[in-house]
Amino acid sequence: MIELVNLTKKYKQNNAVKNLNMFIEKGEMVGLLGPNGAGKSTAISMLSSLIEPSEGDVLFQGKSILKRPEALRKITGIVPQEIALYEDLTAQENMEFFGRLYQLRGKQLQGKITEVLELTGLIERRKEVVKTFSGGMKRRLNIGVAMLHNPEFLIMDEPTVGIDPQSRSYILETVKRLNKERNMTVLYTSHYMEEVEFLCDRIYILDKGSLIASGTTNEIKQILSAEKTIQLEVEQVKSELLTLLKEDPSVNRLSVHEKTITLILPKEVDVFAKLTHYAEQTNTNLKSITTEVPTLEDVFLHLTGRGLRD
Amino acid sequence: MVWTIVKKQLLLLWRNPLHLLLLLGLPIVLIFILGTGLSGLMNQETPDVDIRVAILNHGDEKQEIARFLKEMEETVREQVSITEIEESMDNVAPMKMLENEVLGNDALKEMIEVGYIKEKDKEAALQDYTAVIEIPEDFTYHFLQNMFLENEIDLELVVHGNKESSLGFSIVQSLLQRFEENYALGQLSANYDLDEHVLQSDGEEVFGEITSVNQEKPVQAKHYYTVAMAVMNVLFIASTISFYTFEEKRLLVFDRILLANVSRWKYFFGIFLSGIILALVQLGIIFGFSRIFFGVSWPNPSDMMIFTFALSIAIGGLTVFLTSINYRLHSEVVTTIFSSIIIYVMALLGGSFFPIGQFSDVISSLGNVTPNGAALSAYLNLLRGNSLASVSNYIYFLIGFGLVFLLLAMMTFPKRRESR
Repeated sequence: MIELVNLTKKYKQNNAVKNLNMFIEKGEMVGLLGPNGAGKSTAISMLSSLIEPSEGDVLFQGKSILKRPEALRKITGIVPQEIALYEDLTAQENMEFFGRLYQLRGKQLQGKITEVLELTGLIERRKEVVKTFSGGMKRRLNIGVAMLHNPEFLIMDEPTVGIDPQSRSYILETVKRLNKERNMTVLYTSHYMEEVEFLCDRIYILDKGSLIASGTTNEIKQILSAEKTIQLEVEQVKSELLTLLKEDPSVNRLSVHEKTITLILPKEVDVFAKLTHYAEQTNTNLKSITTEVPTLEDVFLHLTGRGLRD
Repeated sequence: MVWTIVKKQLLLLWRNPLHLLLLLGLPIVLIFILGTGLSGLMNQETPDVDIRVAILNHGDEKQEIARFLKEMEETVREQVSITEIEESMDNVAPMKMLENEVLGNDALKEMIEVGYIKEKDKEAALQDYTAVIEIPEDFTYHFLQNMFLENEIDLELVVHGNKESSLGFSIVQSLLQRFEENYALGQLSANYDLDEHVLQSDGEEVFGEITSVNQEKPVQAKHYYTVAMAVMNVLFIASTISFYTFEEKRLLVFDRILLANVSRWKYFFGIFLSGIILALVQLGIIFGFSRIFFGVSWPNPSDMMIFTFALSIAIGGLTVFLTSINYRLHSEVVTTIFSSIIIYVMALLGGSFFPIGQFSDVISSLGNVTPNGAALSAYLNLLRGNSLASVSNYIYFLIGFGLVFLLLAMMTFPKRRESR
């Protein structure tokens, strides 16, 4: 359905996206993963015809959209990372404005607005101005506006950033439902691995503008089939302990998130005794040591040496 | 589609009470304050300015006239002509003209006090008087020679001003300039044996742009400030809408509009039209309010409406130009400068704060090339009962201004996929 061929975007000397190759089939849910600044939003902007690539092409049903983007735009709904709404207008007025832009009029427009507001759980708040909404409600309305013209292809750029768990869960469930019930094709970008794991059939991992891995969730996790993940929860992360761990030849990757140290090691290595020893040596109070099933986060750590949220 | 964009713009403004207050409340309050506060000055009452003028005459007018007449008797043989010149001396003697008609006319004599000083008092007089007019020796004699014998002797009055009384000094300078013009006119009429009044009338026709000449109905302060504040505040429509449109870009709403397959040019013309419509609405409300509460009525309302439409086109052009610049620069800094500095400079030059054009022809000309200044001049003409035809130049200017800025905006507005 959609193909990105050697897509590159240069800003002066800096390559925001380098030779990106991707495809998305109809009805698929595809994840585009990467930390902040990886080039996800630039890739999406090129894919959706908002910015012109420096090199490469975007094909929709085999035809380039660079000169004639109208066909792709017609079937695409975009949920930008920002709340692209008029905060001084009500939910209903926002919907009416954007609906009219999509040539919806009269009863058809009102019917569609009601449907989308019900889908996003905002029907009761339709007459309230957007600036009075919570972050989660704004995000839901942001998604709703992209749904007004019954898009076949939905691009969601980090749609759950900065919202409460309840709204996040609501959004994820809604997206999943849209894909199942309407066979909607979804491209979902995030730096939350668990969201992508929950939603997507296939994943592309982007780092510093380049594609570093792609495949189904299981295929990607297979990258770590020879390794395991160990998480140490400590009372206080001490630099001496980190130095010892970094110097240990069996530790392939290491990352720290608050009071949790994540290590990726070969599967056959038994490190429990060694870790306890390191803790004693550095006077570190170990609260727990757990072996985890590898996650996409671990894959990213394995591939780049950095956490997704770094 | 364009109407959808316009309607949204109106709705956004309606939802923003602060902007509404600035666009509608502020001009009305200013009209009330300025119209009431400056009514004394504007309504032809004598302003409270005391001017003291000292005359330091190095010659003696009586003696110089006698000397001139004696020389005339010796050179001119026709006694009739000599007698005529002698009889006209009361009207043409320059010092008498200066004292009686220029500084001491009925309209000014309550404001201007004239004193006579000697050379030794000159320094002290510069402190005590608003201005000291120094008349060189033989001034009257040469003046009469120039007038009756077609000589071309350079004549000069020296005027010293008191720095602490700059307003009074500029009034004295204006009066002397008028005196100089009258003198030139008198010389011309004497040389060519023309009726001075005919000359004066023709001269005023040439400067038909000085609207007060054809004044049929005086303009009161509340009339003046109604249009002065309206034409200044209508400029804020351009900055307000361009702030909104930049917000659309910043929040990626503009991207959403493009992704809905709406041509950027439809959006562009939507902004142009929004500027025109909002300017019309704002001016309509201000004029309507002034009609009801300040009694400012238009002799011919349809002329006023047609002219208002021309002004609104200029505002539409300015609106879309500011929007384009913001989009091009990815910043609203130009709009900020426009709304915080440029508008006030334009308002000052255009005469929105006070009729500044009266002080200098240069400022007056500069004011008339601003849309607000041109609109103010035209509205005042219409308020005085002049016809729409008399302001047609301003109409063409404003429509041209709007179209030029529309064109500049089209050239500046980012083309496809350049906007990010």
